[in-house]
Amino acid sequence: MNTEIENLKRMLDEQRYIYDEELIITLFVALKLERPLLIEGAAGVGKTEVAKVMARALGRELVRLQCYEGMDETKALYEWNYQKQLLTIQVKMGTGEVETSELTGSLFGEEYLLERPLLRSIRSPEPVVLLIDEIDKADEEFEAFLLELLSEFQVTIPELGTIKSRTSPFVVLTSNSVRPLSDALKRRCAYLYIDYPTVEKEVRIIRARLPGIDTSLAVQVAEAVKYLRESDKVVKKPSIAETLDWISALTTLGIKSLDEKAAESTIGFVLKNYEDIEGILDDEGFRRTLN
Amino acid sequence: MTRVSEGLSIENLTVFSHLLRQQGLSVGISETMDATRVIELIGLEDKNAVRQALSAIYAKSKSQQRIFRETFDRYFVGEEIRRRQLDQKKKEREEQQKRLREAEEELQYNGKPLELNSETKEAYANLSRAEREQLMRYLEFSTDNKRRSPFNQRFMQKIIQQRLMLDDHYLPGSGSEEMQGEPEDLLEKNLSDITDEEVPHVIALINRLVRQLNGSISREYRRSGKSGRLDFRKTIHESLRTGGSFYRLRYKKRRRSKKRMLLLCDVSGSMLKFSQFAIQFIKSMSDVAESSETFLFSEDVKKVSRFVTGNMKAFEEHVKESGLWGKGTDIGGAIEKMTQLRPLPFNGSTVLIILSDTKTVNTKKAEDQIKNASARVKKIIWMNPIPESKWANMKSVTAFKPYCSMLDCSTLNNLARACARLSSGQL
Repeated sequence: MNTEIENLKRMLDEQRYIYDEELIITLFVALKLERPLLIEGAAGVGKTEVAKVMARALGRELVRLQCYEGMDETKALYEWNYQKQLLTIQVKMGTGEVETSELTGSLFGEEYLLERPLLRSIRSPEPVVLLIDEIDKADEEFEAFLLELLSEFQVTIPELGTIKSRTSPFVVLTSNSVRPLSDALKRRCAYLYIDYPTVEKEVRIIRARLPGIDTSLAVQVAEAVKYLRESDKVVKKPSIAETLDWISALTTLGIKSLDEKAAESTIGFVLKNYEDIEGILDDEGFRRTLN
Repeated sequence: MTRVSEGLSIENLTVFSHLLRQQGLSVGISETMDATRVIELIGLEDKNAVRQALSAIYAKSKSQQRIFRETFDRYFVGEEIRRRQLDQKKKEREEQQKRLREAEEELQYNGKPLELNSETKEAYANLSRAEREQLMRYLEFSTDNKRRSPFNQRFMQKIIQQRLMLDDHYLPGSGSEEMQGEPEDLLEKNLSDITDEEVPHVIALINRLVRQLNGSISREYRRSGKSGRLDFRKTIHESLRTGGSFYRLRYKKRRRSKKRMLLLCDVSGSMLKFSQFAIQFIKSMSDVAESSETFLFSEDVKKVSRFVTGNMKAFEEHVKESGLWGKGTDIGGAIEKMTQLRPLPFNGSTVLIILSDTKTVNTKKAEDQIKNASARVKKIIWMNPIPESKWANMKSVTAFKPYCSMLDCSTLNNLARACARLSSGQL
């Protein structure tokens, strides 16, 4: 087996991160080709966690950009510190210390530049992990704006010129597929789809994240959660974090086995919609997964 | 031949890229170059690793990953497996030839061979011995009739084909060899290809998508507030707090107003299913419009009640009873009749949503009517079940597009996205 892949596995093992072969190979490809990694999958399958773990494993700073509808480059790239510029103008003009032309020239310098996550990741002297979270929530215009950054690792600021990346950030983009991403963006990325974990993998995650948990309870919870994720009656599918919350709640209450009574009293930790809870508690199939 | 590694060449990868392109994946030179580099990095010892690494480069969605894996497994097989597959295919071909010869010998009437097409012969050859004997008995029974004389070849062929179809064996076009995909595949399946058996799954998916869409729209973050124009009045007012300095700039925010919506649904024959699906989406989404009316059209136009559009079965029954179903499509006539209604069903604040594939009689009249309507309503949104890739070849699309926002709604996913845009005020 390739030693570099083995090293990557070792680094993730050190972070107590549960992975599969698919994830490791894709991470390796993205790192080696210096391609951004686009991760798609349902909400709560651990897409963001990949970036966090990689930052810890590679010993790099994690720079996060949370996308949302209407986001523009002033929130993603940079912004001039308008208030500081205004104060400077008022103070300096008041004292008559400087010429107007000299003053206006100095107003667009480093001192007045507010770095946002994208610029910060490019100008960082040390390589960082850049997480562009939920890119599908941003507008298509913003996606187009990202293309220059992702292909060349450089951005252009009219007042300062083109800024090239000093180091290569490892870029992770996540998407819940709320809207399709452009082919141009996808072509620049290595791609990974993360599905909900199998029962066996989820038990391993539970045991890694909550050491000391009774294995039989972990298996019961993982099987019940699998049923919830596959059920048509549940719209908001439980995430891995919610599985962990559920099992923590059960343990805190001193419950050793997941029976109907235990499930009814703690179901709110794993299902967050009233319709979902109502539908599933009456579901015969769900009851059968319980003791 | 440039070798990347033992047993694999750039030429091989190029052919593989070409195969993927044929399967509908968007593969360019850069992907092939990346694949070459990846193979150099990870070697070829571990087939699963190679498959996953190439998948990360070539496949850019879950469905593409599945296509990629199937293509990969067919293309990159080991020498031994390939030889075995070839041997197996050769053996199967020989057996099939033998069965066909036997079938031709059996398919005779009065010592003359029946003139059947090769597909029918093949279907007959694939039957078991008992089934073939049963079929021949049926054939003799059906033709043992003096009134049928002289012997009619076409009649005989028809009997065999009908009998084979009755027995549910494959005949071209019967659809029995269609592969059953995962329910999730329905999201990307062309809506016109959805079968009656798949309709319940589609309804469940629509309900799920609608609930997800409603949830995601209500969860949307507030806009940054800087994408609009500067609000001078508020900025000046705010500056009074800082001695007249424009310390805080205020921006105008885009207002989202609820729309008055008018749905015009094509229910002529093949369009009925699409209109049913689209109406379920539009009507189920909360927060879309403060008021809405629905009209159905084919050659005529009729208004339907809110109750009917809320239930797919009731809607279908209503359409079939209305006399509109199964007729031709006259978009121009439908819009013209709507403009003659009193009170007028639309005004300057109405968003007119047309659910139709644009195919109509008298395209010129339709174009004139759409142009006329576009000046009288706020906006026309056209939800088209025909994929955008085919629009360039459609004269009607070219004619109507300048007067409306036309959206590709050929799949459930596209339909959901169109409704999300409608609901979030992006249209």
